[in-house]
Amino acid sequence: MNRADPLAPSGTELTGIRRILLRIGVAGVLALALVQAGMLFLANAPEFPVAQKRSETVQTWMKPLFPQDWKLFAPNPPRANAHLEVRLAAAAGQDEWIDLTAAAMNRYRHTLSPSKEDSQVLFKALMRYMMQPGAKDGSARASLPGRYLHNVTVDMLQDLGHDPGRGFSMRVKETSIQVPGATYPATPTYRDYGFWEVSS
Amino acid sequence: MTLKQAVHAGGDHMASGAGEARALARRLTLQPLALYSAAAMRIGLAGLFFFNLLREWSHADHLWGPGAALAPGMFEEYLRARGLDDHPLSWWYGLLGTESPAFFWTVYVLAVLVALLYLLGWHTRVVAVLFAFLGVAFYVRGGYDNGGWEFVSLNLTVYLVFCASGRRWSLDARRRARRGPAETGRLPAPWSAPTEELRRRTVTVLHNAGMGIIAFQVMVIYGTAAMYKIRGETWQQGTALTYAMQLDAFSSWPEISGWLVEQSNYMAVLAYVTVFAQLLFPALVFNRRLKYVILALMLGIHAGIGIFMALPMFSAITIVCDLVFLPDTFWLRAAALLRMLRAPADRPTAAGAEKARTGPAAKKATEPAAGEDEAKALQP
Repeated sequence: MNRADPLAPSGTELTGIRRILLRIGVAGVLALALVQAGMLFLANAPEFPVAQKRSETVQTWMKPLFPQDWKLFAPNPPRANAHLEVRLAAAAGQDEWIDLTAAAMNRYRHTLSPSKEDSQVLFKALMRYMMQPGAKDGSARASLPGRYLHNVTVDMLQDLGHDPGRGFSMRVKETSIQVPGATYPATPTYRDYGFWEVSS
Repeated sequence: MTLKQAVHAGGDHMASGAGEARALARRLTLQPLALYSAAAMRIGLAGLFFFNLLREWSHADHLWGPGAALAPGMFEEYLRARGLDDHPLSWWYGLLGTESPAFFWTVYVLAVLVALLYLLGWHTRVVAVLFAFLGVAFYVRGGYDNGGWEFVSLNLTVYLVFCASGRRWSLDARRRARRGPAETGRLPAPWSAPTEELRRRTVTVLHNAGMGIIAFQVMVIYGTAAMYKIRGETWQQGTALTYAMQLDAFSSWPEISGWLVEQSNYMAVLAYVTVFAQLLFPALVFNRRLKYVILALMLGIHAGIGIFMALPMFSAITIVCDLVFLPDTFWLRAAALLRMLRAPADRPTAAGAEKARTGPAAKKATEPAAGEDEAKALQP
């Protein structure tokens, strides 16, 4: 049984126009590969002088087919856990906060193959919103990350069997992660994110 | 003075250098490299994509469909913000920004089928293009939730279009083998033999360039990840993993993570091993033996991340990409070793040889020899 690749070139010499075409083709492929390699380097070294000067060219070439983001837990992993808590408008008097992050955690834990919706969506939506400039005073609620977090929250509430009604109050509970030798307060701090209306 | 004259004037040393370069260039146009690894990456990528679509079936509408939190109208805004709306390929990037569940589910089922066909290697090159077409649509639609798995798999998807990933372990290869050597030697094409040779050499160069870029991309991933980490004080102190493993989004088994983080010395060592493995990866894969050490180490690190840190898809696709560094000799020897382990432990006897010649085991028995032959043939 011959395992040699039957589709490999036979190695017979090419002559005339085919030889020229092959050389042009090889030069073209090599040039393309070198440009791609260069762009890869520049996209991942944004502080490199040439990368700064030519950042627009690099982004045009790379996006959206060649995403480059290899900063997971770098330069430092987050040092606190942020939980999204909501209180339904109907329950305003009862002071009953629902920890949506804990609900998501319960769904993805103890499985080898968690759904992305349970293990990532809410965490990322909250993180993205918290990084918006107007997150605290509520002016970021109309931004795309704000409306996205709104929709994720509504989906989550409905999945848990709650009717969002006319809206909900939102707050973020942040708890420092404890590491041996470090002394951070273990008591959580709260950030009030105000009332989010739900239009039916 | 032409280059040729310069080479002659430079004497034997320079001439041999140029000769080597010529020989290398010739080899890159004549010999497709690491065909087994290309096939393994195709199977890994398509298999993971296929599995993921089935896994997320009940979540699909929320992740990519008309019912997504990034609703179709918001998705358009998102495309505009990324500058992808006013683009000759906008129709492609925005393909899944549809309000119609019927259209979405048609594309979804199509993607499942295409992933399966790509996994099996059925008309691989055409299916590879289709797979990339659909993969990009899903990637862009899921823009707000994309992470490591999506980044790595999209790069690999696009690069693999250029590679001959269907030459091994595919329905295509099986069809060719069934036709037999007599027929594969004949020209299937309507054009002349020299034109076919030109086509094959062009395909070979494209394949080798694609594999080279995949290898470079993997080195860039590890190198960049390490360079970003060494700036952080938690990685310098060795506490980074202690924090990371206690993050609520990255603790599949909080009981195990909790026990692990108490072993603070081991966690610090593990953090340093991670950084140094990533930092040294681009250099070590050039060494024929150390390559296997660093690849095995990476396999271990990613298996741990995949299981304990709720990132199974990201870990799996990274392991699939690492396969680009394995030469054909590795796969053939591994296959031979596997066959040897599976074969009966006793020495081959006359009866065994007779059985091998006549029985259904005949094919299996002759394969190791063929594998060894090719392994030798592939050595420079």
